[in-house]
Amino acid sequence: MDRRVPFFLVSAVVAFLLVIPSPEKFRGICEVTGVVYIILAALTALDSFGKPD
Amino acid sequence: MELGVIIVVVVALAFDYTNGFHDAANSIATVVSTRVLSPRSAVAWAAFFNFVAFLVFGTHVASTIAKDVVLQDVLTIGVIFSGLIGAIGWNLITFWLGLPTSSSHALVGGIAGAAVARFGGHVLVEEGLRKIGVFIVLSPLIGLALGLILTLVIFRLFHRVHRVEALNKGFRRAQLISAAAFSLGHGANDAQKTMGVILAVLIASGHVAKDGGVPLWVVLAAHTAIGLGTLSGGWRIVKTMGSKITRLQPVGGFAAETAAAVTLFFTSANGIPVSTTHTITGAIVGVGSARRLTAVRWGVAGRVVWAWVITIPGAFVIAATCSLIVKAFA
Repeated sequence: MDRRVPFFLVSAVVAFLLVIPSPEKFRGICEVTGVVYIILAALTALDSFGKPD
Repeated sequence: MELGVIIVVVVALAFDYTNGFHDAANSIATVVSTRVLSPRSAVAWAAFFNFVAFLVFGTHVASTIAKDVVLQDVLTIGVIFSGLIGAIGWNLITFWLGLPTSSSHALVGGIAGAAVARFGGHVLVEEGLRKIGVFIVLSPLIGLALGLILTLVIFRLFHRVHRVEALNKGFRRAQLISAAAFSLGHGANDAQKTMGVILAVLIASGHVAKDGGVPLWVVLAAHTAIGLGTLSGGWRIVKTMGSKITRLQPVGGFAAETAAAVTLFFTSANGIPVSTTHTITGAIVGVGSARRLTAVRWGVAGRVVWAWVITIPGAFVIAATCSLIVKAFA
């Protein structure tokens, strides 16, 4: 498996976990960042860009 | 103006000067390594955009440093001085150890440590610290994602250009714009931290009202200090940085600088002090991971993570010790 997939998924989890301590005003940006990383992980898993390791 | 106030203002501006000196390499190393500009011209380019940042962005980050780390009532001149010494001391130790720590995080840890040692833990402003803490981790993540996405978009837009050399030739010029944008973001975020320290000491000494804004002379002094720091010494570091990252092509340099600049514009506009070094590091990792993960220097990334973990506690302890010494002699 492309090693970027777990890397992006871990990044997504970290971004979502940051929602908990984040002040309300910035929770949206944490969530959007998490969603973007999930999309990147999905695209990578589908081999939509780049070359795997 | 009292001697104590003048000393703290001078130390804060010296802190700002060293910040420009060290961080100039982040914004212009790729421009130098691809020989778009000579080191001296590149430094002058960065210094100019560091300085004019005050015309573009407000002073929200300065307000966060002055008002959202600890309660304003406990920000005495002694506490601010101790916080500054904690930040500078931590920077010197980590410079000696070769750790890529953030001056911004050191400043926050220093102010918090000095105030807690003097007055106790209840003086910390929880919401402000949560905002700063969240973006210590989030700003490199945003930079990384933007760097990656921008690289993919560029390659998709220019996929008909089969010769990489031709693509890089075009992006050599574009790097002038991306480096200027990053320098603008650097000036906006980092110079404002110094403004925040000076604002805090002016409020503590009664020269500015508690709900007052940053005086214009403070804005100009902080931007001048960071610009002069960049101008006077940065080119030496740029030479080293430029040779270290020659693997980053002009396309990648453009994407990384633009991604980091966008992140800094967002955080500066929202009053969030972040590390410009960590943001550009995240963006460079993003550009590298567009190809494959092994293209990324994980040793550097790992050291940045360690720097996240230890900087605020480290500066906290030094500043707290300094604060207790100041208290004993006061």
